[in-house]
Amino acid sequence: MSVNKPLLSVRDLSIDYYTLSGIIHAVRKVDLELCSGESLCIVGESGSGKSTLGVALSLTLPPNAAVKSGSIVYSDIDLLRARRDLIDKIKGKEITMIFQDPLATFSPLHTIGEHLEDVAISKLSVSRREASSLVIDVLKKVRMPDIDRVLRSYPHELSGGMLQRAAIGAALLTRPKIIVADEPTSMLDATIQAQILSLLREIVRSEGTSLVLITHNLGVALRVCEKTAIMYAGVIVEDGSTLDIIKEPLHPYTKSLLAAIPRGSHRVSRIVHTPGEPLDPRLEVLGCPFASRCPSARDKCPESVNYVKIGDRRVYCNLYSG
Amino acid sequence: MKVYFPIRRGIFGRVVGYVKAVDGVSFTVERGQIHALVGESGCGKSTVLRAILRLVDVYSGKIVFDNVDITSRRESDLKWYRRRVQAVFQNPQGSLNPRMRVLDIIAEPLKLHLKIPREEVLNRVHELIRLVGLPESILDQSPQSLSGGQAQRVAIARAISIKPDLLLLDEPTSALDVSTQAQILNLLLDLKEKLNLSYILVTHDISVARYMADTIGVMYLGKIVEKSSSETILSEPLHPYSKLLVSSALLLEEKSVETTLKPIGEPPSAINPPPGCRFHPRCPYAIEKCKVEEPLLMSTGKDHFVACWLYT
Repeated sequence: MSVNKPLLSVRDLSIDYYTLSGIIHAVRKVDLELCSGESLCIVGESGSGKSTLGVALSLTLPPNAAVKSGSIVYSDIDLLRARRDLIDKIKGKEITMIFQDPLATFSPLHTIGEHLEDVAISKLSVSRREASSLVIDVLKKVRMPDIDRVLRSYPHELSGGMLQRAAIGAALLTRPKIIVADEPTSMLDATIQAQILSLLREIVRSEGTSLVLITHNLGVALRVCEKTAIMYAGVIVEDGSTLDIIKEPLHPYTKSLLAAIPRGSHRVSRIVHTPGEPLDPRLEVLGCPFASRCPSARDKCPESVNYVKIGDRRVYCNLYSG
Repeated sequence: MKVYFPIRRGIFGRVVGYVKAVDGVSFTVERGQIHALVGESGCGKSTVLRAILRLVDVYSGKIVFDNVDITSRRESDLKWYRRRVQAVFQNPQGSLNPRMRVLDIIAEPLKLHLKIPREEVLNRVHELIRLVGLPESILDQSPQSLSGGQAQRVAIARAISIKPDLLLLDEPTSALDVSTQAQILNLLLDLKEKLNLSYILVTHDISVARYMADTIGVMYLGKIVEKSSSETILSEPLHPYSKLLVSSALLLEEKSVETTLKPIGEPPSAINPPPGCRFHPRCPYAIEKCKVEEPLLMSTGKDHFVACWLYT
């Protein structure tokens, strides 16, 4: 399945934020490919740049963000330099987004039915009647219970799980090629989270949509995405099959991340924490951003590092460069 | 223990109903042990802690600490209890006064509870800050300048400053990143050994509960539906809700991906809990009896208790 041309390719992407406390280097030289029908998880801790990468992919960068270098190419169009009208045809239609807080996704003044119909009308140029039948279809697809009532409900009248189902419905309405979901379940309870994740996995499979899922939780990645990219301080330090990464992490940061996740009783084995704090995002980095905390760092690590390909995996680390 | 919150309506504040936040919860914590309460939002797990802290009134039931019933003691009679039972909350920034320096935050309980000279207070504060693994330079900073992990360490230092016996931990790491969480959990375990503490840990994260606790109580809509040793709950949960919760946990074991149970629906409201077993509307194994009669927490042997008709 990987022989086909990538649907989306990110090359050398760097994004800065201009803030009162200085220039934040949120994303540093990211290369990434997403094939049709593929689901990719971007995993990182707070400040790793995963959400900035997500908003860049979904074309919703805030005004104080500046693309310093690189490109995002989707069906031969460089999305970062394309004309406004071209972008409007892609954004929200061919590339859609699901956010973390389902209550903030919807305006409190409109019913769920109005919301979803408006999406269909503005993006698909259909009549209100056609829109309404499309909306019902899509809500059936996300297995929404009690659809009639939901359509007439305002966002505050529904639970978080129901709203997130509706948000997934809204993201599916335009039959997008790519869905970008930023922590779609981290505000939900454990049992509801499991429901929504299995729904997401089934839907991207049955619809053939590509999914970029952004999360801090490797357990989420394991359940939804066959591929995962690990981010640290704006850099993708490692990517490859999710299962391989969890079974045998290559990059020392990934190793430290996995060692910090509780997997049994402390009486059997203690979790290990890496000392130190994440890198100050205002600093320029030439080499590996993890070098200062890395237990196996070499002299050259802070100065230079390159990606090493190992099978279908990629790791940003000097330990593997022979 | 029962904690009901009245729902008032109209200008006279007539009580029209109760939110039965905690409805008949019993458990004991042995000295030196860690007991975890796990459950989803709204199950009443935090209310249990608030009741133990006497921040909310108990409707019925008893809270006994070191053989003393403290359930209805007056506040003036509770100072000794406040010294011996301390709490750490979820949001570390929110639990530290932004207008105080870290030094004063940690010193305050010392000044309040122990009548010791200023000199000694300062010594204790320095000792405490080292104990929780922070640099002494942090003492002059204000809480806003701290990271989440540092702020939680300060909150822990304040809580242990007056040498309590029991620490109540309400989601102490759920606002933190995985690697910071690892630091805090290990710190809590080390402090427990060093200072001979006992913990009651409230969490929604079953892997945190398994890592920390000796015993786990699973709560659903104000009730404990199952309690046992933490390994037993994780490896052989009996109650259908515990099974659902364990299989929904995003553990990293490969097999857990395939065995995820299909849960039905969402938790109902605690104002009008369903009759019979509160879980029956979502339970795939529910029988007729579950809809009418409420199961009690019964022993199934080996310190394993479950409230479910399937096992009686």
